[in-house]
Order: sequence, then C-alpha cells, then structure tokens
Amino acid sequence: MRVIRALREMQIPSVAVFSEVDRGARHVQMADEAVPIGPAASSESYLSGVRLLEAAQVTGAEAIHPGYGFLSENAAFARSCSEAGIKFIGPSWQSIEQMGSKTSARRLAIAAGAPVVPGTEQGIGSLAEARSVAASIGYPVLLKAAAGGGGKGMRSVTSEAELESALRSAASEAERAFGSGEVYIEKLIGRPRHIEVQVLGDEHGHIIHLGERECSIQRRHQKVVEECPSPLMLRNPSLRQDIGEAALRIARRVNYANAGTLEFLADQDGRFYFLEMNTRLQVEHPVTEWVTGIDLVRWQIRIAAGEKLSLDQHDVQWNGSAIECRVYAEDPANNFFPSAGRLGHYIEPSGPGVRCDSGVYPGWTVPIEYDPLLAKLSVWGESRPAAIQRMRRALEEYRISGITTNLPLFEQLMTDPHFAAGQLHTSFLDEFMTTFAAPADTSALIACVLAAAHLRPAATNGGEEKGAVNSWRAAGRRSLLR
Amino acid sequence: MKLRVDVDGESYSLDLERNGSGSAYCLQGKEESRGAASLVEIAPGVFSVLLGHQSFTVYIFENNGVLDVVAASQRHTVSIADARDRAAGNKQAAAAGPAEIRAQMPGKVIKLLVTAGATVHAGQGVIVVEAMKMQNEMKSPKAGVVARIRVQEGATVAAGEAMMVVE
Repeated sequence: MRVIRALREMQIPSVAVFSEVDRGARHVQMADEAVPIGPAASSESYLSGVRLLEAAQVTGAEAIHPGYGFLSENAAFARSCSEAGIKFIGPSWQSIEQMGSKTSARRLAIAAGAPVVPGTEQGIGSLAEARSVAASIGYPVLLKAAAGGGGKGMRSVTSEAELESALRSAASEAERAFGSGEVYIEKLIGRPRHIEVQVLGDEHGHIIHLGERECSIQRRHQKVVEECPSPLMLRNPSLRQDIGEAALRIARRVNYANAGTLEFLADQDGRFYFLEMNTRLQVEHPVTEWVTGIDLVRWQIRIAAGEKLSLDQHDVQWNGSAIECRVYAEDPANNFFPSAGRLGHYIEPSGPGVRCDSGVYPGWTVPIEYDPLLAKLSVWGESRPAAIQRMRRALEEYRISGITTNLPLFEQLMTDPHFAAGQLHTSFLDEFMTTFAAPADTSALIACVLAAAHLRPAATNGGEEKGAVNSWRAAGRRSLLR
Repeated sequence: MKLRVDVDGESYSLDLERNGSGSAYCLQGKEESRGAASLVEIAPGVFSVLLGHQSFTVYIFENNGVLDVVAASQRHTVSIADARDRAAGNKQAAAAGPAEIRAQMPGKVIKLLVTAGATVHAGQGVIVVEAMKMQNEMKSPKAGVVARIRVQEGATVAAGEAMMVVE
C-alpha cells in the first residue's frame, strides 16, 4: 500500500501480488494490476522467488519492491532478480549477503571502527568455549542465533550454572526457526535502549543518514512503538552525529545503496554499540519521514532507477517529534495472544498531524496465516509532549469492533509518566504490563448496554427471548445456504 | 421494562423507561447507576448516545449472535434477555457443571501440562497450543478434576474444538 501510493504519485503503474487468502486485501484493490502467486502458506507464495519473478515477467514489470518481511532481505532473491533483468528496489545482493549474518556484520563494523557489544564474532563451537567466552566478558551474557531475528533463539544467562541448558535450547530453537543452530555470545547491557539509524545512499557512492529512531518499546523482542527523535538525543544532541557517522562508516564498507537501517543498543548514558543492519525499508520508517520531511519510498524508487541522491548531509533537518504505534489484532491482557476474526466497524483517526498506514477495512477477516499487524498509526507534533498528546487524541478516535486489538494498551502507555519522561529501555513494556489493566469506565459501559438494548428490542417484547431465537434461526438458515 | 443484560460474563439488570426520544435508565450490577439517556442510530450498528450531556458513539457488531460493543476505549460482549427469562440462570448452573477447554483458533497442541484425573485449580495452565507461531497456555476456567483429554501432544486442532474437560 505504501509502495503503491508512492508509485501513484510518480505516475508509475503498479502490480500487486497476492496469495489465495489475500484476494480481498486492500493492496489488490488499490494496484493497477494484481497477480495471484499461490496458496496461503507464505512458503508457496510470498516467499517463492520463482512465483514473484513469474508475476513480474507476465506483467512486464521492470522492478520489484520487496516491502519488509518475506524476501526483502534475501540475497538469493535479489540476485535472481538481477539475473532475470528485473531491478530489485533495495541494495545489491552482495550488500545483503555481507550484512545478512549478524556475525559477519559485526566483523564489518569492527573493521569500520564502530563500537560493538563485547562478545564473540563467530558461532560458539562447544560448551567449553561458551564457558570461557562468557567468563572473559563477564555475566550476564546474551545467547543469540547468528541467522536470527525477532527474538527467536535468544536467551539471557545470568550465571555459569544456567549456561549449558540455555545454550542447548537457544541452538535448537535457532535450528528450527532458521535452519541453522549457530549461536553466539555477547555481553548483556543492563536496561538497554534500541536506537537505530536510517541511511539512504545512491548507486554512485553518495550516502547520508536521516537520524535515529528509538524503538525500545517492545514485546517479545518485537517493536510496537517507535519514535524520532530518541529522547536520548534531546538530552545529548551530539549523540546523533556520533551514531550517524558510525552508521555511515559501516554502510560504506559494503558500498551500501538504497534505504537501510543500522541497529544499535545504547545504554542509559548514551554509549552505543552496533548490533546489525536491516537491508530494507523498516516498518517504522514513517516517523523518520514525518520529522525529516523526506519520502523514503520515493527515494528508494528513484535510486533504483539510477538517479543521484540530490540531498547532502547538511540538507537533512529534524523538525519536531513523531511517534508510531503498531496496531495489532492481539490481546494485551492475554499475553498478546493473536485475535482472529472479522472486523466489524473500522474507523481510522484523522485530522492534523495524523497518518495511518493500514490495509484493512470493515468486513475484512484477519488471516491467521500472517503477522496480525492491522495498521501503523503515526503522528507528528512540534515537541515530544505535543506528539504524545496528539497520539492520545488519535487513539481515542480509532474505533475497531469485532476483534481485540492492542489500542487500549497504547492509550494507557501515552498517559504513563515514565514514558512521558522518556525513560525507555527494552524491558519497559514487560514491566509496564505488570500494572496494565484495561480501564473500567462505567459511563461507557452504560452507553454500550443502552445501545445494545436499543438494537435488540425484540427481546423485550413478551419475554420469549425472541431476539436470541431469531438470531439462532438466522444462523441456521445461513448454515443451510453454505 | 426490565431486561437482564450480560456484559463480559457479568450479569446486570436494566430498567428502561422510554419518554419521547429519550429514556430513563437504572442499571444494577455490582453497583447501581441511574440517569437519563438519549439515543440515535446514526448508521447501521452505530449509535450516538448522550448520558445526560456526556456524548458517546457506540459501535455494535453482531458476530454469531453475540453483540460486540465498542464505546470510548471500551469493548464489551453484550447479550440481552428479558428479565423473566431463565436462560441466564441456566447458564450459571452450567458453570457449576463440566467445563470444556476449546481451541480459540486452528493450531497445534504443543504440550499437555496435566494428565487425566489430575486436580486443577481455577486459572491453572493445562494445555499449550501454538497458533500463528505463538504459543498460548490455556487455563482451566474452574477448579476441579481433569475428566477427559481429547487430544494428544502434536495433534492439530480446529477452532472451537474441545480439547479437555474439567469437572
């Protein structure tokens, strides 16, 4: 949807691809052409490079924008695009490959003189090796899957006694999730913040950074709230330049072109350490677009077409503050368990400084096959407090019936004094959840009850529970029609 | 008129008296609230409700005979019956009987945390089901004894499938 919008603005025709369950999805309606690429299982549709290339060839598409997720960071796919003569809108397959493994990215960062978290550069070969490495960098340590992401194959270990079983379970989880049980060790930074840097480079060797995003509000190691600027930069303005230059040094090592993001951990004092690079557009790119005024997707397309980046580093200005909330079909009160079902009402917020990137509509069914992200709500304000106030207002306008969403969690979060003070760290949400309860509002409950009673007057006439009987009959009739 | 209202499993009684476009209400549950309300259906399933002067927009979505109701940041499951109806009473009797633990969505049984015959307390985790790459520990809705286990570890379950019975 985001990409189709950019293409429309540039008057370039778009082709959407869809799996069987996504026939009714909004991106299919919005694109100029749409091509089915297989069954619901993503391994046979969105993850099938062959099918995607076929779809491009059938429609005569000149380029493929891989979006995020699926094949967006797959070097083999980027390579087969280039071999098929179709432009992959992203970095070269060589850059993706070099940054693809966290251990090789780390070696590149060290070579570029960027700070990294103390730890191993290669996968751990044995328990004895793990013991000696952990002892030398000092507990607590973190075990991580070399091929991983999204928290899979990750274990924190506070003492040597826990090391053996943590190593075993991390390796087997990594093996199952990524097909590689390679695990490495690094020092665990206490209360770290997740700070990342957006870079944008052309294919002629010119690259700039667009500042940072803070993504410390996470559940299960996945980001749910992102913002720009990081509250850390408000306290320490020189940090942006330092971390931005470190990011550029690393990106230049692989002649990086197009949009990319370098992820760092920062401690509460602002010391930062390179983690890994995402060689694609990020889900949370809107906050950077809000604050810099630069359209990242448009630039991705222009750069892929061979254009020179006309912006210099000093052209990039950061204005105000932006926040994004990822709206998921999930229940924050039940361990964020996904909520399946059909959307009833769906009313998106609007008004000044509000942007909602979504792909859903009333009557749409949340597919159980994919990540249940419904929308990305982002806002801009002149300052961080103004952005928080605006986000609260936007959340109050957002109404979704039929399924459970995490909107009430965000409403609570926007009133939290620690969030307002910018005291963020990656365990913030876990700690916040221990006190989270959907607020009780008696007046709203009464309004609900009165409206329901109004809708179901049949039940009130006579006392034979007609409304319920009728709906059962209707359900029976519907089942006969199937 | 008197209505019995069930909100998220909690029972309330509602006294409603219509006068013109408005009505006087009295809702009794854990506590009592009463007042005057005005109500207009502005689109199918969308109501503008004024409680006194306090304004709400209420969205009602009917899903398999259940009303999913959203107002302000609140979302409730509501069912309405005449106060003389015995259904609500029957439902409470059912709660005292056996409870089935059903799969919320299609998935796979990862682990059984109890064996048949085990004594469980309300809220105790009894079975772990994976759906949408997420593991969910399902809890016993009541204290009792695990009477039957209908699935094995590794089994695929359909949405709504009964996996376990606690008596």
